[in-house]
Amino acid sequence: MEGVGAQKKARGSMGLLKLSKLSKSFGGLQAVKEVNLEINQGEIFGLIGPNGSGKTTLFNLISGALRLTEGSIRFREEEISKLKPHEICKRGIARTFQIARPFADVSAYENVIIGALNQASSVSTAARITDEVLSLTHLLNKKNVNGKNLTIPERRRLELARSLATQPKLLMLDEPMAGLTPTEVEEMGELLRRIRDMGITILIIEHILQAVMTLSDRIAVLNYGQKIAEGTPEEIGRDQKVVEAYLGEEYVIADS
Amino acid sequence: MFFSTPSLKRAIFILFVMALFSAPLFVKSDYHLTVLIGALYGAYICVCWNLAAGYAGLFSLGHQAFLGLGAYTSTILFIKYEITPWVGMFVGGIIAAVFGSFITFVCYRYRVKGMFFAVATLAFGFLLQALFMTWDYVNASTGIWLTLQNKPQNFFFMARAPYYWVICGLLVISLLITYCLERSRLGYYMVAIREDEDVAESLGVNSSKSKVIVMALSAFLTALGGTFYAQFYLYISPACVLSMDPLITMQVGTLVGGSGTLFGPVIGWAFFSLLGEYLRGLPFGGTAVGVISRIIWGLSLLLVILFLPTGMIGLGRKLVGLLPWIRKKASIRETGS
Amino acid sequence: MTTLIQGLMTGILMGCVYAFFAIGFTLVLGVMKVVNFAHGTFVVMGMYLTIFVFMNYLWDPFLSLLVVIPSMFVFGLIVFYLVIRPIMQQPLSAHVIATIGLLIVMENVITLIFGSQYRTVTVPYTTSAIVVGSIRIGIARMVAAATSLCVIGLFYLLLHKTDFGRAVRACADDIEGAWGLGIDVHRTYLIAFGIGSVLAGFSGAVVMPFAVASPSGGLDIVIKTFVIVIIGGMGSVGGALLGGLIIGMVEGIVSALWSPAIAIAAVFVILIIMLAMKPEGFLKRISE
Repeated sequence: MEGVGAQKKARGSMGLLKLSKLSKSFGGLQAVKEVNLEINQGEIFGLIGPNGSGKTTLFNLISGALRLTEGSIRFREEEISKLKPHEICKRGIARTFQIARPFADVSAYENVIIGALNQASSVSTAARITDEVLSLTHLLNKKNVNGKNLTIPERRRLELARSLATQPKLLMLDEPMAGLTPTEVEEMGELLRRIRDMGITILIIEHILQAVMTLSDRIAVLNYGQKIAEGTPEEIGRDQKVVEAYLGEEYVIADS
Repeated sequence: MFFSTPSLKRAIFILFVMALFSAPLFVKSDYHLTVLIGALYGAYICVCWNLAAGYAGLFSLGHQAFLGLGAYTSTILFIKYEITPWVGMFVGGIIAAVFGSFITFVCYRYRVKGMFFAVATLAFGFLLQALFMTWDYVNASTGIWLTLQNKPQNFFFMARAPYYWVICGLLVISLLITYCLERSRLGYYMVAIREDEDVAESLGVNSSKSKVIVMALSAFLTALGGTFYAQFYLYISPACVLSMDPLITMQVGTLVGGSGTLFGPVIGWAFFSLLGEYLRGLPFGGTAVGVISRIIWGLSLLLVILFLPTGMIGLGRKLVGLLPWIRKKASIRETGS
Repeated sequence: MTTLIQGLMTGILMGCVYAFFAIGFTLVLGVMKVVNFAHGTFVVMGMYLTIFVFMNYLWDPFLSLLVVIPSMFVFGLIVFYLVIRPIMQQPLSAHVIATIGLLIVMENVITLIFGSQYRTVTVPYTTSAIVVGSIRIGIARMVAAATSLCVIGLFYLLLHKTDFGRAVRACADDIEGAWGLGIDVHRTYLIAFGIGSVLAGFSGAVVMPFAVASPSGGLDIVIKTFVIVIIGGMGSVGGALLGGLIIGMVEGIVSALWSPAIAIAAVFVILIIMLAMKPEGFLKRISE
């Protein structure tokens, strides 16, 4: 896991993940409608939108948990839409869940090592990676604590650590800051920047708009399963359609 | 946890193995050795079942099929083709592994999981029993007798002790395999799959492949036990190696002792078979002895399940956790402070 | 050809009876989500209660229902409190072991009292039959099948037309909702299990005029029941009937043309096909 310097310069240059006319319907309900999106290597890409706009469904489509109805998903020039979740993880996409799902009756260490075994060639290599990741996410002192006995912020960091241990090229985070205090949000933001600097591309769903705006290089906005806007945080902030979509929606802005 | 320090666990294990192997030096009576062999055989098949059911979550209600496949394969190969059961044993194991992998793979392919998987394996077991009961090539329901000869190279021993050492060896090997599995990549994957299969998949765990491998291993080992049964008890039939009775043994020992643990099946079966032996020896009148002892046996089963859902190992852990200095160590594990 | 028709006729009659065996099991499974491996032994218990009454009073099995039904109900209540309620929250493995333990206890108590040899009950119509050409249809079997169909029909009405039936279906569907409607879920479970036990015992009594009872017959019965419930759908009464008829007919035809052992195999092949294609069974659940 190296990075910094060269990655900053190359930011925004290569298409890592490409969604083309991606659609998903459940019976009569269309959850995702013809979404076109391209995420570049090395950037932090934010995905926002009101509740129920299809963001998590999009994650599930990319990670292989759901089968798409139409369209294509290309990761590093390879079509991945027909692959199983574990095959997609092997190719370098990791994701966290909206509600943290640590393995409850198993220690934090064991949680992370399972992720580490994704790429590590042996259990001992995986052990080394696990220690590195635990230290990065400030969980080293909790390594023997069972998943169910961790606090909410610790569980979120554990989810992150576990996914990070799989050595992904693209890390998809589903509301990693939900339920955190403003200071914790700040810390998480710092952590995510460090991860980006290591060369990992980040796709993040988040409702805490202020955090997303400061963190992301680019943002896409979903509403009713469709992409209604895309651009830099400044452009999005000024976009009338985005404001309308959020009108009547309660959204969280972290207190400064 | 006190018992989880590697060196202590290893020491206990070595002592256990030494005690086990040295038993024939102290126990001379044929009757007692036979009882011990029976108990160890039961423990062995429990450990095998535990690999699939306890570790991989494959609640197989047809595992006796693998026992039967092993017993019949080696016996038929010996009687009809004069191939020594030492080799026939492994052929049986491979056949069982193939069947086991196939069933597991097909079930997961068609999303037959949990209870439905249990029913599918139940069906497989009964199917095999029904087929063997009418297949004349294997002597149908009459069964096959083996004649005891003084030919160790054909897996026959005149004395009980060598049989005892063979089953000891099998038991120790199966425990070692379980131990290594726990610590391996596959072992970690099993934990992940048991905890939350969807999350495991998202972390790169190929749950189908992992389950198939563990089932194949479990089936292979169980089949070896089948050959041992044939060579020791010298009679096999669909009613003894393909019926629910061995399966009930496997389940009782594993679930009572604690599934998904290393020593659980052994302790569970040791407890229950010894209980059975003790009850058999009690002075109840006449022919009712066997029946009453079985009633008490069934009642104890109920009591254990009702009051000890985590099995005896779970109880043991709780009890050990009550000792004051262990408690302190445990609370560190709980809160991390 | 005549063997085929004979097999088919016997099969249909037996199918009705098998369905009767199964409705108690499917009720418990559908409502409480509990797998009762001892169910078959409950049926056997009904058989032996009938034998007991016959041995001492020479009552026809149908008359002995006066004894069988209340006894099975009370027995069911006791078993519910002691065994079923504690394991309801636990996983499948606990259900299996606990009910196997129950099976072992019940089987051996029956053996203790009655011995392990086969027993029968012989009534005037045990050997009589209607003969059509070369097809022989036993009266006892016909009566059993007819009774089975009646009881299944009555049970269906109970489930769909009475308040208790509504309560049962509500509990099967959504416990929170049931509580919200003011339904006493625990009492419903208790009585449902009692009824399931009665149905099991009743079905055992009904076959005594022509069947042979043995203490260990429970496992075979419950396995067959399992297959029926998978085919028909867990918790579905109509499904149990459908499943029973399918199994009965397959068994009848295959036994007549080949052998009873092959018939067992055929039944399981059907099960495996069902599991692959439609694990939830053909018909809808008790709640729908």
